[in-house]
Amino acid sequence: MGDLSTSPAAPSPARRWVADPLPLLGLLAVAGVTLGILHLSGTAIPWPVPALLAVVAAGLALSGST
Amino acid sequence: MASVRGRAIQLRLWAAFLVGCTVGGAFTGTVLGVFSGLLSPVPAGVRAVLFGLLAVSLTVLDLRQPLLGLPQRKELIPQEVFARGLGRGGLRFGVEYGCGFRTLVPSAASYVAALFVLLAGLPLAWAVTLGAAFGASRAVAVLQYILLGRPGWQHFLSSHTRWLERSGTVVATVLLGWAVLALF
Repeated sequence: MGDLSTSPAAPSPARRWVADPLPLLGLLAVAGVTLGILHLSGTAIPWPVPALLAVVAAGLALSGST
Repeated sequence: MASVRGRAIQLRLWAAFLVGCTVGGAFTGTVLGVFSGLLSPVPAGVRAVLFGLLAVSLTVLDLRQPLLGLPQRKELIPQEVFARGLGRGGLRFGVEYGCGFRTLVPSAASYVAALFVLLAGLPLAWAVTLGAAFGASRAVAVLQYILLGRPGWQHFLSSHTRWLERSGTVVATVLLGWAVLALF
């Protein structure tokens, strides 16, 4: 999908990253690690939770071809 | 997709795109779920080991190859899908994009996810749900662009696309490995 806006301002690197899917994938990974730690410490996490996180990660991973 | 100006129009187009992506992903999930039934006679332990071996192999392949060389349709979705209007075009574009096999697949993550649905022996409803979630997540980056993007967004993204693709594969493999261990 091509660029959809026409604003001429040069954005800061922070502004760039906020609009980028890679940090979102990082957040998802952090959520997975947190849930994994909870799971290892005795909290029951059912299989659909990591499975859903995983398919969302797979979808985000393909965002570069957007 | 043609350039579209105005956030309200972009959001309407994105909504159609999201619905299309979700439907496309759900379609793939349904097909994989049906085919997974054919593998149900294979013992669960064998399927789990097979998933582990294939998922790790795909991850290593993705990490080693500069460009992923797995079988895929190496064509872009044609612009003609928008010939009947933006709304219908966004929907159709989304269906083709969200199904995960009608255009380029530059990351092994989707292959690993497909293997999971195929080998885990899930109830069909879960296969459809996972497929729909995959499809919907393919629309997220476009929403990020509409709400937060600035000129040069795609150029910036393309500077680290391979990182995104490889990280996604690692994250998906680890999480699906966990799901397999919980299932079997």
